[in-house]
Amino acid sequence: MTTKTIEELKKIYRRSVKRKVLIILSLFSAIIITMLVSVSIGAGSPRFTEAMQVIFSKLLPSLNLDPGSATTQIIVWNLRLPRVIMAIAAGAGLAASGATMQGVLRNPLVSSYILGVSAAAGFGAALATVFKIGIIISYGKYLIITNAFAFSMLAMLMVYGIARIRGITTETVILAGVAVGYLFSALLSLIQYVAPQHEAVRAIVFWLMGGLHASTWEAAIIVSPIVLLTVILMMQQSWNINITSMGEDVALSLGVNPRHVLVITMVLESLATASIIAFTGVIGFVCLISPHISRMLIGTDHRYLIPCSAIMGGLLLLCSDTVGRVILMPAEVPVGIITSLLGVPFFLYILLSKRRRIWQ
Amino acid sequence: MKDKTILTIAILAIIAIAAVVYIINTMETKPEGVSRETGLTETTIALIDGVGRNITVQLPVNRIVTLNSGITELLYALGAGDKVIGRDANSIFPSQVKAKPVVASSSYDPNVELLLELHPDLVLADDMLFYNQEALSKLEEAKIPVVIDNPTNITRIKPLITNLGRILQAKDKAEEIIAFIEQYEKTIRERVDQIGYRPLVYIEWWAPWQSFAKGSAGNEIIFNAGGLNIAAEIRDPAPVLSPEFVVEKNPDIIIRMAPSEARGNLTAINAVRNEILNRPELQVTKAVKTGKVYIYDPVLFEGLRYPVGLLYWAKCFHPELFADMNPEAIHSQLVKKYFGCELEGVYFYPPP
Repeated sequence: MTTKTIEELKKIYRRSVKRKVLIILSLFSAIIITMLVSVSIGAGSPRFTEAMQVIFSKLLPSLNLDPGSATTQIIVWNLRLPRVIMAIAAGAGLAASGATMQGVLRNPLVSSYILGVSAAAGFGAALATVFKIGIIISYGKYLIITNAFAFSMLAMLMVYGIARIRGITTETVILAGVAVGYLFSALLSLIQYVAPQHEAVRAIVFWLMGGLHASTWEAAIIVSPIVLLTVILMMQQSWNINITSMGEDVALSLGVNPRHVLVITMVLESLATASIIAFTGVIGFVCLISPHISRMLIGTDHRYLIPCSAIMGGLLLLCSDTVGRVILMPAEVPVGIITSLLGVPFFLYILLSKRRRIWQ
Repeated sequence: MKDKTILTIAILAIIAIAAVVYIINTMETKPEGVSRETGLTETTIALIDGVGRNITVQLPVNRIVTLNSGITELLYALGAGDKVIGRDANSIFPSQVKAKPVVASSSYDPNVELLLELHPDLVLADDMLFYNQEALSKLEEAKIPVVIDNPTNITRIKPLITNLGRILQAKDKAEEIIAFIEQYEKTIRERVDQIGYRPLVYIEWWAPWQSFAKGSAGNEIIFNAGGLNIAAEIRDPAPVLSPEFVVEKNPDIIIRMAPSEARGNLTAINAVRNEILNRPELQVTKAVKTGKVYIYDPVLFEGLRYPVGLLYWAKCFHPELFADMNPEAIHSQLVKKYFGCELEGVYFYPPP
């Protein structure tokens, strides 16, 4: 074994940091390019030039650009752009949550839905769809959204409460999450089974499939800042997550309480996931696979892994949604189907081509 | 050796019993005075149902279980309401039927035990039962004839009424109802054919952007009523459309099915209509600009009410052509004539 001087080690470290930053930057550029492509294609006729004219005329009115017809403006500005932003925000939030939870719970099968959040959100939405029962508000178009959000947070509190009784460890949180998840799935199935109207059942199935077709500026403006904030706060925890992933004893000896880290990240990931799926329905897979792809590309240091997963998730969901919008034009294919169809081959390619073993 | 003898006797005994059972069975299934070749008498009819099954029904039929609201209405219209002995939960019109026991929530999930206890001569269901093969085969094992048809499929309405007319021995009444339907179909077709113009129609089913396209009943009815469906060329019968496609097609008229909880209730129907009128992306369309957004109750396209639904749409697409015809009045007459009651509630809003 050759010994290296401190200088040499620093050089190796700097080189690896440079490589990681480069990967993140190139993923970021890929997102920008995909955004430009995505606003330029669709069932409507506006293409790149028209799309750019509309966007720049709205962003910079002083340029006095011709924004095109009212129809073009609506297609680009009200339909495509909020959807693109929503895809990136949702993908980023779900993937960052997945990366964080996988790290904190030291388990590769964990996704951001591990705390029973998706089943609870589905139950809340179904309650609103079928029985018009809301727990925050009781009518109107926000009924489903607020219900889905409230029940997701409730699921998280239940998991926290159950886990607290036995002491908050990774095992109790995962098992309590699975149990709460099953409870809400059973309640959801019960509603679907007893629902008096067939179309309400169809509406629930549609909601559970998830999708970005309902993205509006309103949704994008609510979800994007929440995702941005929670991802930043998750990144702030990344040192602590790195340390807890070495084991409880190591963490405690370094002055980090793994339970505090677990509780903080649980709250952050539930907040992000709940606000996203309240608007989009349950979009699976991105939150499981993006962290894995990112880990293979960039390693397990959460300071880089969390932002990399976020960008990867945004990219994956945006690509999938764009493909879903155009593949059967003018009909649309739910994003969940495309995410898996595109994501699985990509994931397998990286899995088979990389030599590195991440989970020992 | 002894074992072998016992075995041989046992096998012979089984064969003998089977032979006796077979002979008794064949004797029972051969009614007197019936030729063995066809197996039919005047009291037995053979028909083909809506899913292509060959069914033999023993007449007269006096005990009927109906598992579809449209079929229930047809039974009453054909004067066979008193023969209904069981129903599904959706069959609530005419109001007399509510007194009959419920044996299913829909055709998909009949409670076979409850149904068998009623000893029906005939079960009528829509094609959802076809997807519940277990229940269907249990009914067939019990030798109860099951006729499956779909009164919401416009190509099946007339054959279904003909079949019911034969089963209920009410041919004249069946022909009268078919003539009533054909009369309106003919009038609407003739008037629409006169002018070449067909307005562009966007139809929304049970969720935003969920539409009807090629191969769906909705698509065909739009054409028959003199409109042109914006999704007519899409091969998926019930696609979720891209909103930008709808916006760019710029429909002249938008029609939306009333969700079941809103049916008959004007406030709820108005809320559904306002949601569409206020959808930001639809603001540029002619339909929203001119307020031509209509909500319809799908019951208008079931069974004998089909001409009413067709006329509502035709009048909404071509108000000038049908100024002399009032779909609501026709609907009201129909309900009075066939069900003996007054028309209540809202079925189409706003009136064209």
